Amino acid sequence: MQILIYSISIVAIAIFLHLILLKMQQTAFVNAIVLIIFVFSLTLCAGFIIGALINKTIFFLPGGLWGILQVAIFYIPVMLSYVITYVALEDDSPSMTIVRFVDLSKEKGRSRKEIEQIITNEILILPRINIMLKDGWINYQNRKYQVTKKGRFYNQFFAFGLKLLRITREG
Amino acid sequence: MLGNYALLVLAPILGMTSNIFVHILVSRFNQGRSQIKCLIFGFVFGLVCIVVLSLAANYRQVNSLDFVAYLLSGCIAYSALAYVYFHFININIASLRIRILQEVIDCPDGLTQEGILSRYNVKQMLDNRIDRLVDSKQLMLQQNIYYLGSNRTFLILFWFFEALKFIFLGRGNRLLSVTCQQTGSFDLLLGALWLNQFFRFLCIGAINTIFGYCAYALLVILGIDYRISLTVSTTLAVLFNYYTNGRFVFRNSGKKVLMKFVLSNLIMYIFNQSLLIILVSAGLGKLVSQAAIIPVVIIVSFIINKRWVFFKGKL
Repeated sequence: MQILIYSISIVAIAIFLHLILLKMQQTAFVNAIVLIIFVFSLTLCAGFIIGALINKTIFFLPGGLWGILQVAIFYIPVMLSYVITYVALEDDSPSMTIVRFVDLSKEKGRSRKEIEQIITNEILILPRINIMLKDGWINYQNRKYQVTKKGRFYNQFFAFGLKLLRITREG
Repeated sequence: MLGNYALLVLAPILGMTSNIFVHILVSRFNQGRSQIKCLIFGFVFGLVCIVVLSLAANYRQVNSLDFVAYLLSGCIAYSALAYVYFHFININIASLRIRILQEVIDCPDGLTQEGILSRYNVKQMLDNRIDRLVDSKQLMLQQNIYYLGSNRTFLILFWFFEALKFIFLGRGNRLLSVTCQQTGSFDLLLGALWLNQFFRFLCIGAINTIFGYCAYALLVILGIDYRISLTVSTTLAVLFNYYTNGRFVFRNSGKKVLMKFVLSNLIMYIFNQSLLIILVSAGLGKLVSQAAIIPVVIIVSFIINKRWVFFKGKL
């Protein structure tokens, strides 16, 4: 019980710290993912260091090393989930937008043409090309976009999953 | 005993491994089946593995609170891992960026912007997405008009993410608010409620209470004396309360406001303490007295914060 409460508390503190840093906007981090990982790592390390200093042993949680491992096994996936959810928040999901757009019409419904009016290339595709340029996945040379090494790596990384599961990419 | 504890601790990892294994098997040998169903199948299998492993490791103490805590911890960790895995699979299938990247890679000489759009554009994206939404019954098609389907999962997810966007980013869905000319994403009951300051005060108050308790629990578990833990966590909670109330509820801040906030908390503490002593002396039980006082404290606290602490104009 102590480990569960400790794990939940430390996650909650990390999330609150991140929220505060976010709202204060006084951070040197340009990358949101790096900021989250930094805040979570700092909180976890601070928790262990303070516990070790007060109890004069690093194994201050019940179960000793296994207790620390249990906290880590809880904390790291929750941190990764938080990162993924936060990144997903910044982009508006086209599928959810379509469903909500149809929902707004109530009994009237929506035609395909109406749906195409809210989701255009300028809103959805072109900004993503710019983000890939900014992140270094592609570069712009001689008026053409070409993939970089980083872009190839990401593509191969994700393509491995496709091959393993025998599924096709749709977009 | 050590072996059993190790099994309890590693249960989420073992559960996730079995989840991935089963998902790959089902996906490879049942092509044509929806990926969501394959993922759910794998998730449930992994969850069952965790419960079985946990029971096998601790079958003598199934009724103990500690066992429940271990199981809950394992299930939360496993669910988080499964969530990460789901997104890894979903990115492969549905990510626009990955799809665009694939089109650029397929052309060794590179692509112009028009070239990219000719190979992959919004029309194709909508074809894929709308087909998937109709297949999964999120939408239904009747006489070339789309209506909401019987499956409301995406709609529920929309509102969940809207709430998170509001908290983290201070905005809602941009596609709808810009193109539909809505005044805001929260145009239903939740939105109307959030515009109400007292509702925001209650929500933020609940979050502040969780923060205060988590800070206290953390300090106690770290080995700090419970009285010192309470003092430190209360101090942190007051600062946190000041920030969240100033930012989200009353939209006002500053050094003067902070001093007034600290003073108002002290006043509320004395008020609470006095009322509690009176009620307990009158014969009302200690627990019932404080439970009865809480709504009064909330209302008085809201009025003091609104009319004095965070007040911007002239009284």
